[in-house]
Amino acid sequence: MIDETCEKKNCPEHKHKQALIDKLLENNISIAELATLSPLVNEKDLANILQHIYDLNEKDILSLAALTGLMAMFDNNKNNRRNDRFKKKITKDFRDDPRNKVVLAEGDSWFNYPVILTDVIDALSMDKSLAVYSLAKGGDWLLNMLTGRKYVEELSVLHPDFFLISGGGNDIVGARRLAAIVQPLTAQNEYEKNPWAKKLKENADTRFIGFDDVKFRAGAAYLSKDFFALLMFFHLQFFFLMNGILNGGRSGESKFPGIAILTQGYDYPIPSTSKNFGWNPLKWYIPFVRLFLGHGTWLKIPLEIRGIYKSEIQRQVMYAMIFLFNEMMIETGAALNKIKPGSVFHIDSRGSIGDDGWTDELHAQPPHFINTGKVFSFCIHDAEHQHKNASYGHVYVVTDILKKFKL
Amino acid sequence: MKLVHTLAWLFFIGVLAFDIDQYIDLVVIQHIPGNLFGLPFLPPAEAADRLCTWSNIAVHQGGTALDAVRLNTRWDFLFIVGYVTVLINLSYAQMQRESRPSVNTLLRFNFALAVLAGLSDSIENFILLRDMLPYNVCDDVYTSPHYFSLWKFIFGGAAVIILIFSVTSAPKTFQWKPQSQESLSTPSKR
Repeated sequence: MIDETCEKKNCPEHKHKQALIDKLLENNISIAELATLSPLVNEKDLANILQHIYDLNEKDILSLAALTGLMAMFDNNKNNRRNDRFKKKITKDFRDDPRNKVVLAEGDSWFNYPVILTDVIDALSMDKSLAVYSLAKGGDWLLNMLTGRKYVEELSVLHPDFFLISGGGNDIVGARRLAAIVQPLTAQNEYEKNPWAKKLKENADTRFIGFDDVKFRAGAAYLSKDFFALLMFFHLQFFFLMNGILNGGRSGESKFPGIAILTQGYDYPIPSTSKNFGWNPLKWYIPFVRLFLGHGTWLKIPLEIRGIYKSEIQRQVMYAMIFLFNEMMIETGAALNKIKPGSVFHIDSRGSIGDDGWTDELHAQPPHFINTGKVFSFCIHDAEHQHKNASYGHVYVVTDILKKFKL
Repeated sequence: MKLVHTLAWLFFIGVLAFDIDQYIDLVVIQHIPGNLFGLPFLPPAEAADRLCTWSNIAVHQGGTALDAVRLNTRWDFLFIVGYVTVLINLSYAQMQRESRPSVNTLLRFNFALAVLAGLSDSIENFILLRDMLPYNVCDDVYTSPHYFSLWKFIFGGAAVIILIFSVTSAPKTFQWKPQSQESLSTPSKR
């Protein structure tokens, strides 16, 4: 760890760290160098990297990512309801029974989709043996979660058994950012230049997710240098966040011994502007959501801005992106599990929603969110069995767990 | 938000209490003839005749019975806003407890049913208010709102049935727990 005095004096260690960050931003960093960089970064470095990726100063990025207006009001309303239920549960000798668990959830719209959809945390909260406290907000950026640090305050107060995090999606697709991290096919293939991303793919366990290599390669060719910088930045952010919780960050001593962290990485979305009007009255909410709540502006339009018009290619791009995002999360978890075994688990939703299961470009229909919630719950209870029922390693693949255990 | 929630409930209960008070006053105390709520389902000639009768009965708050019914019909719009909000709110709260995907979907459908019930009720009221205009009463100008009344009860009734079904039949305790003690996991490449 490089201390602040070293940073001020610009000592060789600090210079080395800066050189590694520059390499990361140039998509020119080796696997060993990224592994060296991971435990060295601090909040300042993350802010510095971010400013380079987004071409904006930190203040502008934070205002871009800020949640305001009606959406924030509805998010808060849903959290208030959940947290009232949490308080009711926790005051009834809940923690006296060791089978009961306290869960703290921080995340985005997969964890808090106000009013219309039943989301993952709604499903998880239905489990009577879990008391779930939620800080999640639809539309929230991972950046906001890290800079806001509300989870730190709640961790200290609640001392939860499990910390759940869902983030990164809005950092990619919020404010049409997607257009900035894809490129036309004529440019250089940045994926081929990035040994870390290639290693992610090589290490991927594809037995349960029906991996399509042709589709992946076709999509990966459209990902720009900034996408890979962002992917590595996510790795550093998640490592920083989770290492802080599990190992106390700089101090090396965790305030929360025994806590486990659960992550998730979304499913392959389908870029679309279709409103999906149909005759099924039970699905009335789909055209409603698509008409009024941003459908098309997250994926389809930004891809078209960069000249990627064919639906098939758009799907391939999202396939490659979400595949790598999940593998990044799995890799980050594995790295932390090497330091502290059995502390990070990943819920892998890839392939669980399918072509017809989406409410809009980013969000599943409630039955699929409920399924993902069930697997989160399953993973939490599997702690009693030392997580022997994971699909592989520290990963619970939603499709596999649902099928195998008939949840 | 909690304050808004409480105020919304107080508003709904207030409007409901006012409606009940008006009904008791007109029907029980002042003995206005005929069923106030059954009007939309009467044959058009009979309904028109009843409106004409009410227009000739004086009530103690001043004006005619028809004036009192007209005022009540206007107040009913507030009641509509209230019950639609309450149905949506209750369905939303229950959705967060309902783990069965099919029933969870039905509870979401309740949002649409509540809005449709409110819309049908509003149209019914507009038709009745038109029928009660002074130059229409006793002049055989009457349009029956009974289709909208019927849909109002179908939509609203379905929403209430779904809600009651979910509340009464939801599993009291459940967990999505692994049953197996043996290891089914395979090692990771990482």
